[in-house]
Amino acid sequence: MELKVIKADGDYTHVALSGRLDIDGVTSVEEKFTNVVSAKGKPAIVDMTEVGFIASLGMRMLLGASKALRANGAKLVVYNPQPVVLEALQTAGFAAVMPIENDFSKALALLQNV
Amino acid sequence: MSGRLEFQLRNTVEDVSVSLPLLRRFAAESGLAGRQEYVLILSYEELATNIVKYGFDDAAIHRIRVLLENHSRDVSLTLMDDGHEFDPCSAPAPEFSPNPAERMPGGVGLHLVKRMARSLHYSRKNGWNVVQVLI
Repeated sequence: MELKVIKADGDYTHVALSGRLDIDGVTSVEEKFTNVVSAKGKPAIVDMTEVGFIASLGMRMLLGASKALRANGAKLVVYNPQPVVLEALQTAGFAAVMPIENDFSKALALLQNV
Repeated sequence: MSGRLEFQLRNTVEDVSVSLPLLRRFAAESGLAGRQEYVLILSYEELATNIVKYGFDDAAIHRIRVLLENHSRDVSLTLMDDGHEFDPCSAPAPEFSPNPAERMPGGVGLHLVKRMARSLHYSRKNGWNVVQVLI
């Protein structure tokens, strides 16, 4: 499991996760993810293109970051999840609490509307 | 291709973690891919974690038995534990609060398994919980 920081300065944070967000994946990446995404308090785009697996533990990590940002008046947008990951996020009820977007310019636009 | 894999793990999160590669290997050897592989491993991680975290009323080490079977049309995952009686089929659906103080509701993992697997069946046999998922 890897976390690539694409943009950490400026007015939003852009990171890309790759690998499997299973128990091991969350364990290996959670601290860095929280430091980069939550601690900055800026709107964030989380690119999920390269995430092949997510279970409830991984969803909990995303939701925790989203909650931290929201407390700061900022939003977390999940960008471009693979079809089966999207199905799991929607089945879990995520779409109701966290925007999921497959178009990058739309994802960016969503960050502005809190 | 048909196949069968049986193993045991202790009731620790570490053992669930360590056993995940066994599931991935079984999936690969059974020719599972895409959604079927995903749902198999999701079901295992969620159900096993749930048993480890909530299944036992004492601090003792327990053995959880796992059986994977690849029938030609579907795959079955069976987990057996001697914890207190718990029927995952009867667990209520989680509810996400739409308000900003959102919190991950309990039961999301079981809900995912119920909705994404083909079927989930529970029985209590001789003091053991037996949960079978068809994928």
